[in-house]
Amino acid sequence: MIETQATETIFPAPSSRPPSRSEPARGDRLREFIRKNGAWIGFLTLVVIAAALTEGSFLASRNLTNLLRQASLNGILAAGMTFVILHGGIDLSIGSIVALSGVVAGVSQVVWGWNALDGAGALGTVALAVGTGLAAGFVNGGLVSLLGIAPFVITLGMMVVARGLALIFSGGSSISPMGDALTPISDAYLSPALSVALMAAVIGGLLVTMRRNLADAIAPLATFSLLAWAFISYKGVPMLAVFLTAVMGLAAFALTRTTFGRGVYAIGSNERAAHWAGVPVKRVIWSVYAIMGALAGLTGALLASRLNGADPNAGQLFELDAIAAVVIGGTSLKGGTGTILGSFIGALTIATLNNSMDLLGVPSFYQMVFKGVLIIAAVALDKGQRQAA
Amino acid sequence: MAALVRLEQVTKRFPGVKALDGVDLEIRSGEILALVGENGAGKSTLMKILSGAYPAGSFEGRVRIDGEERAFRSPLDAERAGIAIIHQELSGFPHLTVAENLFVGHWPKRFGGLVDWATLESEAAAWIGRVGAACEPSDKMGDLSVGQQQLVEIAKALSRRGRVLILDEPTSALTPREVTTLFHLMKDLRAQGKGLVYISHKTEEVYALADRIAVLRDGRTVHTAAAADLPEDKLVQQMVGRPLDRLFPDPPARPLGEAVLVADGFAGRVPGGRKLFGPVSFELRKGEILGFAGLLGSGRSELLQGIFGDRGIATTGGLFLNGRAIPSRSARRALREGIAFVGEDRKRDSILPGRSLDENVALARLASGGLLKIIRARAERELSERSLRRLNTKARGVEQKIQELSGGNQQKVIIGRALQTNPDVILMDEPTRGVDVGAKFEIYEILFKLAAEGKSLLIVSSDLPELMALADRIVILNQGMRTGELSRPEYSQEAIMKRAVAAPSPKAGEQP
Repeated sequence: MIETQATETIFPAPSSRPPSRSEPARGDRLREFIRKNGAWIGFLTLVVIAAALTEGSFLASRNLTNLLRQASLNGILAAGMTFVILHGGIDLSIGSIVALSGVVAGVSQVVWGWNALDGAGALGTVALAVGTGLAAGFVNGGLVSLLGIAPFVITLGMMVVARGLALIFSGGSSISPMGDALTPISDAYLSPALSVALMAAVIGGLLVTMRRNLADAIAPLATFSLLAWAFISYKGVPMLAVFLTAVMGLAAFALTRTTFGRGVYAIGSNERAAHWAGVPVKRVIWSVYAIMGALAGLTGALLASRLNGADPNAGQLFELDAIAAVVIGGTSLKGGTGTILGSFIGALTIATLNNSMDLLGVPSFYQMVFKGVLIIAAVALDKGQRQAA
Repeated sequence: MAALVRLEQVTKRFPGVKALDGVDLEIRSGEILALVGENGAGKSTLMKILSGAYPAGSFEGRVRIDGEERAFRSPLDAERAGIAIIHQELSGFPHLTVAENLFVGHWPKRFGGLVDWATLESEAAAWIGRVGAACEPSDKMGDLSVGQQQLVEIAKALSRRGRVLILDEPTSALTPREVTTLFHLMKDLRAQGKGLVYISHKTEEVYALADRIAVLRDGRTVHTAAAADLPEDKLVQQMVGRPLDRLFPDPPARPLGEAVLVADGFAGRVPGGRKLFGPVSFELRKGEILGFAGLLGSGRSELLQGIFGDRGIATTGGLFLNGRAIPSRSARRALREGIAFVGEDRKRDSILPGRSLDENVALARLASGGLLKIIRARAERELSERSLRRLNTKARGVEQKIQELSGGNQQKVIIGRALQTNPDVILMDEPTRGVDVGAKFEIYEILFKLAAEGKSLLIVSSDLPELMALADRIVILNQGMRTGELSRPEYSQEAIMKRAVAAPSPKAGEQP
C-alpha cells in the first residue's frame, strides 16, 4: 500500500500544530462553547426567568412533570422532523397526518368497537394509527424522491389531502369515547423503580456518548438531572415522556450510528457527493418521510388517547411547532448539520414558554406573539453566533 | 505609472488564524499584476478586502485609492471607487439576458421610473462589442459559455467605470481560443491605463501576461518583482517556501497486465436528449494510467461519469470490467463492481461541508453497503484515520471539519474515500484542480503508487503538462468522439491540441 514519504507530521498532536494556526485564545474557546451550547444556554436562561417570575412554582415537580407531558408530542414530531430537515427537506403535512391517524384510531375504537377489546384493541388501534401515518409518509417520500418535486409542494398537498380524509372518515365531527385500555398510554406513570432506572439510563447514555467532550455535557446533564428529580419526587416518569425518550433514543442512534443516518447527513450536506459515494439517495429520502409519517401516526394515537377522542381538526400547526423545535435546536434548514438532542431542547424550550406564560396568566393570544418572537430571536442569535465564528 | 490602489499593512484575523499579516500591495495604472500563491496563502482574502466584501473595520491596515485613504463599507462602495472583481465562480444572473446582466441595478430610465429598454439594448450592444464577446444583448446569460460570460462580466465592470479589475482564475474553464480573446482584451485594457490584477495558478499564463508578480505565502507578501526578474523556478520556490527540484515524480516502472476495463462502442446521452459522447472504444490495462484530453465540452468528463453510471447519463454499447459486462448502471453498482470516481469540482461533487474527515472518508465504505447497518464507531474511525495517514493528509485529526483543510488535503481525503471500496479502476476528473504546487507533487506520487500496486486509472485533466507526466497513453476527444491517441514518446502540447480541435471522422470511434 501507499507509504508516506514526506517528513511532516500527519495528524499532529494538539501541541505540535502548524505555526500558522495559533492556539485558540481563552475568549475564543468561551465563544466556541457558547456557540455550540446556545440552545441549552437559552433554555436554562428561560427556566431561570420562568422560575423567578412565577416565584418558584414553575420548578415544582408537578409542574415540571406536566411540562414534559406538554413537550412530548411536539418532541416526537420534532424527532422525525430532524431527519426531514437534515436531508434538506421540510414536511408540512404532519399536523394533518396527526389528525387523520387520530381519526382512524377513533374509528377503530368507536365504530368498529375495538374499545371493548381491552389491551388487544388498544394495541391494534395504536398499530393502525402508526400504519396510517406511515402510509401517508410513504406517499410523501415516494413523490419527493421519485418525482423530484420540492418537498414543500408535495407535503403542502398532503397537508390538505390528509385533512380532507380526516374529515371524510370522521364525518366532520369528533369521535369519542376511546376505550379505557387506551388511556394509560398517555396518562399513566412509570413505577418509581422503573423511573429511576430509565432516568439513570438516559443520563448514563448521555455521559457515554459525550465522554469526549464533557464540557458540552454540562447543560444537558443539569437539565436531565432536574427532570429526573421532578419525576421521581412526583409520580414517576409520565408515559408520554417514555414514548418521547424511546423515540428520541432510537432516532439519535439511527442518525449517529447507522449507515442510514450517515446517508441522511451526507444528502443534506451535498446530495451529489452522496450519490457518487454510493448513498442510495432515493431510498434514504423515501425512508425519511416514511419515518416522519409513522411518528405523526404515533402522535395521533397518543393525542386521541389524551383527549379521549379523535378530532378531525386536531393537530393544526403542529408542523410549525415541530419545525420551530428543530430550528431552535440548531439544525440548519439547509440540511447537513444538527442533532436529535438539539431538537429535544428545542421542544422543551417551546413547552417552557407556553407553560410559564400559562402560569403567569398571559392570555393565549399574547402567548402566540411571544412564541413567534422567540422563534425568530433564537434563530437570529444562532445565526449571529455562527457568523462571528 | 501612477499607483491606482495601495494596500498598506493589511492584517486580517479570523478566530484562531491570521489570514493576512501586514500585507503591502500596489496596483498601478496600465499594468497587469499577477497575484500568485498557494491555496490558503491569502489571495482571496486580500481581494475581498479590496473589493469591499470585508468591510472597513473588520481588518487592520489601510486601503488607498489614488493616494487617498478609503473605508469601504460594502462591495457597492468599492464598485463606486472603480474596483471590480470577476469571480472564479461566476456571479451573473443566468436567467436574465446579457443586457440585463450588464445594467442590473443601473437601469437606464425614462419617464422617471420605467426601464428604457431601447437604450438598454443599444448600450449593451456597444459594451459587448468593446470586449469582443460573441453574443447578442438578448441572449440569456446562462446559455453562454463560461468564457463569454466572463467577457460580459468584464464589460459590466467597464460600464461602471471600473479602473481596477481583479480576475480570479479567469482561464480555468476556458477553451484556448477564449483564453486568447481574454488575453487580448486584458492587454487592450492595460494600454487604456486600467490596472489589472490577475490571480492564477498557471505560471505559463502569468509569464505571458504579467508586468509584475506579487507572491503571497502564509498571509504575507514574500516577494514583489517585475516578471522579467523572477524566473519560474524562483517563483515556485517563493510560493512553496522551499526549493522544488522538479514538478513531477518519475513514473514507476511496472509491467502492464491484462485489460481491466474495456469500452466497445460505448456512448452516452442525456436520457431522452442530446448526445454527450461516443461511441468510443478503448481499453485500460491493469496498472495503467490512461489519460483523456480534450477541450471543455469535448465530453471527457461526461465519459467518466458515464462509465461510473451517473444517473443523469443514459449509456449504450459495451462496457466490460475484468471481461464481464457491467449490467445495470448506477454509481452504487459501479462501486460494488470495483470502479471508483473522483469528480472534477471538489466543492460541488465531493466534499460534505460541515462534516468530519471521518464521515467524509467513510462515506463510500459505509454507504455502498447495506442501508441500515450499525456503525462500530471506533473501528470505523480507526479505518478512516489509517487511510488518511497513508495518504499523508495533514489535519488535526479525523474529527476536524473538511472545509478547514487546504485544497490539497481535501483532495487527499476525497482520494481516500475513493479507495475505501478497494476498486480496480479509479476514474479521476481533474485530480489536482485547486491544489497548490507542493501538494500536487504528493498527489502525483499517490497516483503513481496506486498504479504500481496494480490499480488502473482513467484520468481527465485540462492541465496538459500534468496529463503528459502522468499518463502512459493519452486519448484525445473532440465533440464526444476520439480524434487521436498518443503514446509517451509522441507527447507534446501541440500534438494534443491539434487533435483536440480536429473534426472527428465518423469511423474514428470504432477503432479500439
